Amino acid sequence: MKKLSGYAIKIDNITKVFYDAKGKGRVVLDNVSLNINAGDFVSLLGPSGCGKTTLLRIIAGLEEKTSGGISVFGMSPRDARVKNTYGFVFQDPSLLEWRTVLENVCLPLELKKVPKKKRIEIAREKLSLVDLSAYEKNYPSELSGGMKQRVGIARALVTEPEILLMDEPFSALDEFTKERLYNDILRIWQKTNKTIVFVTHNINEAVKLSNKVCVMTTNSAKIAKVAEIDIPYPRKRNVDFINKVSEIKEIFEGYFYENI
Amino acid sequence: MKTSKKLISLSVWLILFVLIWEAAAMVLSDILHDPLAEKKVPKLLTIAKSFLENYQVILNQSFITLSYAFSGLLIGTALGVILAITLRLSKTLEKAVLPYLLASQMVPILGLAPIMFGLFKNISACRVAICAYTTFFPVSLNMLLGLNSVPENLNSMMRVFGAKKFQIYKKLLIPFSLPYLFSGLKISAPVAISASILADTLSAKDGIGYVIIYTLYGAGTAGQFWPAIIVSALLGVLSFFAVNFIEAILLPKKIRVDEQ
Amino acid sequence: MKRVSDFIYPLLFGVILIALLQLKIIHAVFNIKTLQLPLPYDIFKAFVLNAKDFVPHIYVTIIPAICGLLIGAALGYIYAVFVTLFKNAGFGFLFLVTLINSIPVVALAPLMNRWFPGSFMPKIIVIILAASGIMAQNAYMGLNNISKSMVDLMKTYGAGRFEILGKIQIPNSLPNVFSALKLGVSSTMLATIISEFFASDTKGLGYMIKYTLKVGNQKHIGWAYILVVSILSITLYLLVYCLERRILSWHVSQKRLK
Repeated sequence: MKKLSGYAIKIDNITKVFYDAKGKGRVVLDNVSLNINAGDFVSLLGPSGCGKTTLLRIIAGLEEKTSGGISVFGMSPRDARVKNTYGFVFQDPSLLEWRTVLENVCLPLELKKVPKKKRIEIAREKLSLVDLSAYEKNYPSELSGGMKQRVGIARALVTEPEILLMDEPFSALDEFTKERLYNDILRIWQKTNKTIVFVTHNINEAVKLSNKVCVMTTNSAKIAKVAEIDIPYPRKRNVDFINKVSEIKEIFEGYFYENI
Repeated sequence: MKTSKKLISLSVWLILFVLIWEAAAMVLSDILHDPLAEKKVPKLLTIAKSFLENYQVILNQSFITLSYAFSGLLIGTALGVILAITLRLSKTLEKAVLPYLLASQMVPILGLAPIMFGLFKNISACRVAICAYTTFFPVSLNMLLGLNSVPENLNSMMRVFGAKKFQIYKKLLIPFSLPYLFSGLKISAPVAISASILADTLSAKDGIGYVIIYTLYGAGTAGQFWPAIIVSALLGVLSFFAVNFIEAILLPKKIRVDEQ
Repeated sequence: MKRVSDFIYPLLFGVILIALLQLKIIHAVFNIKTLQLPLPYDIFKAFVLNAKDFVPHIYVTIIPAICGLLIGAALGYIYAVFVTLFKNAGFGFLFLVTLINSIPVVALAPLMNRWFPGSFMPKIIVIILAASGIMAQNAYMGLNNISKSMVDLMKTYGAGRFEILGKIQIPNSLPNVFSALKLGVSSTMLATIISEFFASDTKGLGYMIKYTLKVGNQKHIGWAYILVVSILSITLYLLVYCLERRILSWHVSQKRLK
């Protein structure tokens, strides 16, 4: 089942234009191409409005591209979605408030009509992966922000997806919670060898986690650079790390001045 | 504010109310020697006594009124929910019908209830229809509000996990709207009671409203007037608490939205 | 900017509905006679032909409705300020007001007929009770739903209880005042109409609705009266709405409408 070689996602010259109520178009993605290998941890990095979330939503099949081609293991995003290729972790944990933690994690399997006994078994296993077994009977409103997000991660894993799509999942959390979730997500990645596409506006976060960083800026609607990060895990804040962060920051220099 | 202080405040005001009432009754009968004193502001003891003498009639008649109100409420709620879901399914239909639903809030719907007189030959059907018609509007409007308040991220989440349209309604939209449905019912239930009493007074030959009107104009047992007024007031209040009670059972406290 | 379709669809729906009624299709489906459910054209004709007869009834209904709404709203606001200033004493009072307000108008109206002479007094008392209850609850919410940091800010500048009330709480309650007035429009109209169902007087829109809809061959006139009441309530509502937009132009709830 694990596809360790070859492309997981192939994006060819994708363009996305949004039209407002008056029919005026705004180009969010302009001829973007990107190949993501199976087993990669790719970050889409950029300030808000650069089109990184839109790109992720196109990969997920939640948004239609205006032109260009995209294939996910040789399928269209929609087909890939139907075949459970994706797990999705949202910025907002997007839990159903009226379901317990366990029932929330079960939801994707319930939609696939997996028998009850089986789905509870799988959900429990994923909950233990994020250390939340003790909370399976609690309601989301009784959990902290970090715990909610871990429930979201467990839910994303429950269908055994090959690709994990994460949309700024940690941006609303405090530094201490973030550090612990970084460890969780890296552990899960190394253990399961999933392909991860991770949207973020935090440079440190991108360098800390991923092996490839796609830098996107607001003015071009393109991917400005794909930076390979070859620092061995677990990554500490050493000279290599800080150099990498500075290197990426330089790409944004122009953006910083524009906005002063 | 402590509960004990609330109780003290409440009992002081209630005692004050009782004292004022008794004083008014005394002034009318013993000082002004108003021949109608017994009818206008009877002493509370007199009311209690006439309630004890007539309680069987009063309770029987209230039960009749209550059962029409309840049947009407059920039918009105069912129709309101069906309409709300239909409108949610079709944006075009929603655009066409919503303005009329909104306008229904500006119009004294209950006052227009005599409309039903022509439409139903059977007087019982007419009484149920009046209750159903007045409860229909708040229920459908609140339910639609609930369906339209589902956050976009939850919708995306369901789609990412491959939910079919039917599943999105069953597992997300309808559970999410339940608290809104209940706030609609909290408006509707007392209205259904009022509508049922109104229907009693307009054409029926039984029900608590009929007792009020019959005794008001001097016919029947005069002693039944005050107990009937008090019981019908209580019915309205009780119906509100009944809906709250059912809500508390059906929806665990942590997931209820705040009252709008 | 509103799009054309926002107007076209409701209009189309109305036209189709009227056409279905006029062509007796709805009558055929539900097996109703035109004597039971009059045709739109007959209602319209009754509306135009009787327009002159409506006027005195409109006066009899609308004057107590508006006066009652204004007096009731003012009273309700005073209640709310009282309850805000004297929390402990006020709690029981607000509860009592809410309790009285939840008595169905249908039960209240005959009672007031017994208490007060004539037809104007009982009517306006019922309306005042209805309007003041709604206002008291809403205004109380607005007066007390204030951010703690605002109060702290006032306190750091040495503001007293009444300055906080005047500069923070009362302005903060204005949006609630208007939503109470908007709710109040339909409930005062309702109180008026229901009172007229029970009044000994043979004037007023409520009386006419009750009377004409019960008589076999006057149903189209009854529907015309229903049309009149609906138009009046919507006009009154829109009046309050326009006033709100003028006075509360600073409030967030108004921003998206511009």
